Amino acid sequence: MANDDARQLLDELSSLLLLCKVQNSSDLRAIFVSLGKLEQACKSEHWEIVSDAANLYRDAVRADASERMGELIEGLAQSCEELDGQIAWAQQAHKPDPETASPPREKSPVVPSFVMGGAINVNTAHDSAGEVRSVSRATEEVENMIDFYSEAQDAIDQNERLLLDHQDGELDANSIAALFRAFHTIKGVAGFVGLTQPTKLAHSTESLLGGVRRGDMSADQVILDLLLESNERMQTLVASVRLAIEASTSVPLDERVDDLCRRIDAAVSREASPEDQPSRQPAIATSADDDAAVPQRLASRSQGSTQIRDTLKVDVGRVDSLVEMVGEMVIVESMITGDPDLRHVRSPKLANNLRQMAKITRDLQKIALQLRMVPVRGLFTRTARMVRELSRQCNKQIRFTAEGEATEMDRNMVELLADPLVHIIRNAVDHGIEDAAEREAAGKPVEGSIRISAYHESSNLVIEIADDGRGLDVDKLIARGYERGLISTGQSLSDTEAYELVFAPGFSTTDTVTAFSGRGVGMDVVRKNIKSMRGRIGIQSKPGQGTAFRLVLPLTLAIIDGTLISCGRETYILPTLSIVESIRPKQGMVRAPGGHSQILQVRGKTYPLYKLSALLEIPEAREDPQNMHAVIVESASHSFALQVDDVVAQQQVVIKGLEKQLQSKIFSGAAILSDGQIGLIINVDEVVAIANDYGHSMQGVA
Amino acid sequence: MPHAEQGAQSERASKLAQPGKYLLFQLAGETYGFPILQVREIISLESITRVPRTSQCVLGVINLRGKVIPVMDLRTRFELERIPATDETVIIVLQCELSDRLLTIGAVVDDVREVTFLGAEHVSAPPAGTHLEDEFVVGIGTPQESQIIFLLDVDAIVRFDEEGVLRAAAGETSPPNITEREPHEDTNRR
Repeated sequence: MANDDARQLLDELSSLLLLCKVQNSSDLRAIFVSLGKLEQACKSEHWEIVSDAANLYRDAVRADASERMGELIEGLAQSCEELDGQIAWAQQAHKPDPETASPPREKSPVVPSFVMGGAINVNTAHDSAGEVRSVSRATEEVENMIDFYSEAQDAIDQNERLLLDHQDGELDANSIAALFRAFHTIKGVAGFVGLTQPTKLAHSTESLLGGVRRGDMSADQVILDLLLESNERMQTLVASVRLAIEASTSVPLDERVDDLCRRIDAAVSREASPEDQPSRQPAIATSADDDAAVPQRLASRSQGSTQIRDTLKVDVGRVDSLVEMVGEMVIVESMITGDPDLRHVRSPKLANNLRQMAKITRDLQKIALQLRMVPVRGLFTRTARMVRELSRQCNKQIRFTAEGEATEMDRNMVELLADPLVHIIRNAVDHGIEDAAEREAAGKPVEGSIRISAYHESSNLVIEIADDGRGLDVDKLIARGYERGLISTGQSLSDTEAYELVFAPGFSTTDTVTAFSGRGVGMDVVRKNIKSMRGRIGIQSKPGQGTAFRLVLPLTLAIIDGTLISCGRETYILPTLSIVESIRPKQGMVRAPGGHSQILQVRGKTYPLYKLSALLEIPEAREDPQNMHAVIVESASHSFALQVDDVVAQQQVVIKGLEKQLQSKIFSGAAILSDGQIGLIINVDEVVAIANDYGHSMQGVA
Repeated sequence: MPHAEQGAQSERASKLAQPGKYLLFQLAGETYGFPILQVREIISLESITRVPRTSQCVLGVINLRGKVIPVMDLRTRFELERIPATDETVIIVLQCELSDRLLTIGAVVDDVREVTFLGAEHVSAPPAGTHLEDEFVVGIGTPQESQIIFLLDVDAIVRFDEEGVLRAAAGETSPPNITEREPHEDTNRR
């Protein structure tokens, strides 16, 4: 019931007014937004008087930050009471007809005259102001900007999900309403902080959506594209606001906004004349072709919508420190339960309590880690948009399917994964998927397919990106490898080894460089990023059938599976993911050809063998050649073997950062072991560099 | 926190010790003072995990209730002779705000004495003509005529990462160590 809505909004507004401090800009902003909602609600019920009053107040709140705010709030509070009475009156009347339900004119709310005057001033000042305002001016303004950023970003993300879900079908009334609300919010907040471009764009988009909502036009492909474009442009605008905040500069103007606004406005006005109809016909036809995909998407969407739960926004720093503290508790817990003194105590009660404590700590740790987990959906949404964009630019028809969008991953990893996915997708669209003629000739459906899926496998997150394109050409890869000197002639490579060449810096098999790929930058970045997350990447490919990338990532960056190794009296940690195997080499397996460097030969493969004791200057290492341990490690660039005294255990460890003061590139972090001691985590990517350093200094001496 | 603001300053020379409370400690027979606001706690010298290939003055890291914090040897930092730990040796845990983050770091000193208040009349600038300011001394405290306390700039002491390698460690970095050791080990192997 709209009356109830309005009363609720009024209640909200009144309590805001009661609590409001005049100097506090976020309070004022809350009032501003609340007034916006009220205006909206009343407008939809055709209560022009109330909505107009609300609008005037909004302008006044925005315009006048300090001097007359007290007076204004006073007047507003008074008006609220009156409005409340009128709505109650309307409710009593119980007439559904908006005309009769609207409050009688003579009882219109009190609007102080200065509010009216203020509103006009604002409008004129606003138009001429432009976006030259410097964000650095006042901290208060910066805070408002930051609020704008986070609110607008939320709205944009939400819009994007909605739009992409509906990209082939018609937008239903609910989605239109949701989009409308989102753009309205953006407009409101942008208006408050005085950003003209986002306000203008949101306004145009809002009128477009308004037209659709009224039924003046149908939500067809053209409109959808406009909406998508508008949302994307808004994204860049918001991003530039963020940059401006961070750099304390002024928000730059984006000249494409005006053009987009013009086109949107044109679309709104064009709808009146029907001659445009035929031009949109093909777009509709293609979307109708997509029938098969629609039920599936609808199914997945309804699944998604049931998962919407109440959420709470929490500062990431707090969550991080919570996770850290819980990690500590887990360690202390294991110190207590493993305490030798306590073991001697024969008490069933104690034993029971300890068990209980152990269980609760484990559960707590699990929950704490889940706090940071977010579904991969957001990442996939971005990918979907990119496929859409690229396929259009490359003139290819590509169907994008995503599976396992609800699979969760560490929030901190999402950003790190974005770049690799961009490169993989670009390659798939540009090189992987053939053009229509080629596909037809090969007897494939004209429409290409890119499938992205995510799932958990043991304690890892797996993301697969598969296309049904032409696949990797092993011969071509090898030929390029020779050309670029990556492999020596006569060297024979397995298919998997040939695929690995793709990750070499500057490697590309395409003869034509396009705007999107072919320059050979990219795939090396992919592998670097994946490695930095302590993950792995693999390729599978079948000629003519497609290529699949498989990314295996740890579930979280906070915890790794560590392998504890000992050397001398010291214990270090190697990330288990980077360990290929650990062996006890027999004597013949270790060769020392040049005197200083050693080689380990395992099943026909050779690895450089480094002594951990030498790398880390460890005293009292055992160094017993009869009884040595070697751990074969795979780093981003090399594989090598590390000679250690012993492989002690495998355990999950919570990673702690090391201070810069330690200047220790060779360690990526530290962890507290179950006995409370610190284990340093070896950064395997640096081992080779450091070993090479001392190799060079060796040569200098020799 | 007035000291937090001071931490943002990079000009050490312009920084002078302020009147206030200081934690006094001993190092090679002299008395020094840290501003109490930058002292988080004092802990006994517990097991320090060695960190290979780092500055000479860094003894390693300790587990301070779950936080891994670096510990430096203040004697080495001040280019004084290293001595074995005694019962009096303690770690003063310092906290300071560097340009972008909060740093917690331990400093090993010979002995802690007391916390004392130094009024404006007892604090003076380091005498001109000395190089005391290079030694992180930003003031002289004289609560009594016979007593002299060197007041230290914590931020400058801990900022050895940004200055590059610590001066004390210069010329004694790790590569030579390896070249010495490696052939020796190799002959052992053969």
